[in-house]
Amino acid sequence: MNEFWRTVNRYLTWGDYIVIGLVFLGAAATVSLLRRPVEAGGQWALVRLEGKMVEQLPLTEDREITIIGPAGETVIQVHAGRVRVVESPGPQQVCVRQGWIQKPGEALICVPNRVTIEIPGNSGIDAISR
Amino acid sequence: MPFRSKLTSPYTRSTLPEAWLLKRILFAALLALGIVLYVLEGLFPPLVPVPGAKLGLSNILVLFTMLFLGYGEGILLAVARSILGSFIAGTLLAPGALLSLSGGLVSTLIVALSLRYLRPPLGLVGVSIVGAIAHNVTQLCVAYVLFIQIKGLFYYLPFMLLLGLISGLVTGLIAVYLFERLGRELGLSYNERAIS
Amino acid sequence: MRQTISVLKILALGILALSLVFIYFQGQVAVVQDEKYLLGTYFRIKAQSRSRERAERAVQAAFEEAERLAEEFSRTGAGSLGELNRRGFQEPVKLSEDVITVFEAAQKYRELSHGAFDPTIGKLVDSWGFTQDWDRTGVGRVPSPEVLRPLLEDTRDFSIDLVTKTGQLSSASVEIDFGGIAKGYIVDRVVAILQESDLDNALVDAGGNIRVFNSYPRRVLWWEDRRPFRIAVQHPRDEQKVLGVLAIWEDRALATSGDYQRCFFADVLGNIFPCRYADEPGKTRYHHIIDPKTGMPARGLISVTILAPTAMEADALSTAVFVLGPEKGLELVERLENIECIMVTDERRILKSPGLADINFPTELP
Repeated sequence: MNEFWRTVNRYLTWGDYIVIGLVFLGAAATVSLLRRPVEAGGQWALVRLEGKMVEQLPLTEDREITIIGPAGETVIQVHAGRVRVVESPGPQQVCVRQGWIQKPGEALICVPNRVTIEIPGNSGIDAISR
Repeated sequence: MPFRSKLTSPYTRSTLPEAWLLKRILFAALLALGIVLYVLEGLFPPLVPVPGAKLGLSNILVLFTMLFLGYGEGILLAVARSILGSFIAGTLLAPGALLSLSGGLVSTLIVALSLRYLRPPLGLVGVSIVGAIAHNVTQLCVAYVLFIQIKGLFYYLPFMLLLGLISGLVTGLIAVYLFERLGRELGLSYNERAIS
Repeated sequence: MRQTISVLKILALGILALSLVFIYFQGQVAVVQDEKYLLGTYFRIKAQSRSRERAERAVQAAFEEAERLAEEFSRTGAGSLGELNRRGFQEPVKLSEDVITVFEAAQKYRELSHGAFDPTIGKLVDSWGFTQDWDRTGVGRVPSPEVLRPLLEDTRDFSIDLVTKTGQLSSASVEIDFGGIAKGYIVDRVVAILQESDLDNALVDAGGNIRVFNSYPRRVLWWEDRRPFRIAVQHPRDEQKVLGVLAIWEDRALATSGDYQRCFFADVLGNIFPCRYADEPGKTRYHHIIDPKTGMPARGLISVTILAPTAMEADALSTAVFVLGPEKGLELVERLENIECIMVTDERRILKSPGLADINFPTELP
């Protein structure tokens, strides 16, 4: 083992060790710099009415909006980085029962009122055969 | 060509008339070897399932050329190696070729500069780490500018840095070991400043 | 030294010129995605192309075609199918090219499945309330045997004259419902338009009736990564879950028929409850896939997903296999070439056709 380290030390100068250290520091710094915005926000929920974009909701901002569609009012709530539909017309209440969504690729679809809410991004799945 | 400057140099011409020829032959052999390594490396499945995770063994030859034949020759070898190598591998017109060519060029220039100006403090290992990282980071930037304007591309950056570290370390250590042996055989010391 | 620099200059210029050539040939990749509400579902098209303009034009043309066809295949609309349903049992009605094509295909699947797939059951489906009523109220009704009996006893048939391009229905009990095939046909037509537009790849999703083509050679960084389209299959008893994900590399279509898509629950007292994914204890589920022989919702399976070369085949066969049940359905799928299926029985077992044997799906519904 000593033999090994002696060889390594002969091969590496002190400058090399500094370079290696700097690379580790740089990697750690980029990780911490790049990871933060993803958690903190910069994410949006896109609200569409009949396929046309009507609203972009930043997930960082708690608020409630009402969309008026062909069947009535759909109330959308953003809270703590998540979105849900509080109220929407329609017999099945599918999008209300679906609850909160927060991950990229997730979507709420209120078919009767033609409202869709989508967090853009790649969930790894292109489509669901349902 | 860079060789002509040696040819017209009275020193080399008068004392070692066959030296420039020897260099030329050596350069051709190194280039051939470099292309072979470059193509062979592209044939193997990547060791790690991450794009760009190549060892870059042919960079040892670039280092060797820079140290023993001169910086100009080293840069020429690197450029010729990547163009001819990707031509032979059939990837010259593939979408990724521009990325790997630009990465190769920038990293070769940086390696040349750091060999010239940063070595004593750095050794060959440090220089090849710097080169490998320059290669990866350049590719990332070119990809961002030319192809995919997604900030998410830079999530690769830490991986690129660490992969550059690993491949630079491995090639650098091989280079030191090799050049010591070669230097002993050829009666040259790799620590000598290159002549160009 | 001077020569060295000039050589480097020439090299740099050469590389610059080369890069310009590369940029010209490669351009950028644009993904255009749009959705519209058609035929009772969201119709989504996602197209990738080197040219954004081309992709946008293709998607727009595709939606125009889809809208036109949606009208054409509406059971009661102004198209030729609506016309046939209104007066087809009295006199021959002129049909459009598209309707004739689907009629021919419907006839083929009707014979292949020995009547399990049958487009003539419009009135049966109506009597369960799974059409306009369901869209409005979200619940259907259980029809009395007196309502069903005449519809079942009449010979329900249609005849198509390919020369005069007309169609006729055999009796007043017949109403043509292309619910189990038209969506697939529209998806195929839309894909054909996208394919003509020279796109890199595209995905068309009509409410779970999916077709993809030319799976990506997509570029990520320097390495050309051929990524398959990843398409999930819905879990039939939990809306939030999927059964598994299929990686689709080639041009393929998928369609799912499930008893959760349009359904309602009824308890012993005759109270009606809206459709849910999960079963409700003490209540019976009635769904929209009606067995043409009995007039009742088909039993035995709760979900069928078909993989086929075209969306029309997938759409029609998913309905047919659902009605046939696990054994006969699997037999039909095995008899046909290029068709694979995944089905979930009412005992929550997941069955796959032999071609999907190596695909990682659970064998029991989780």
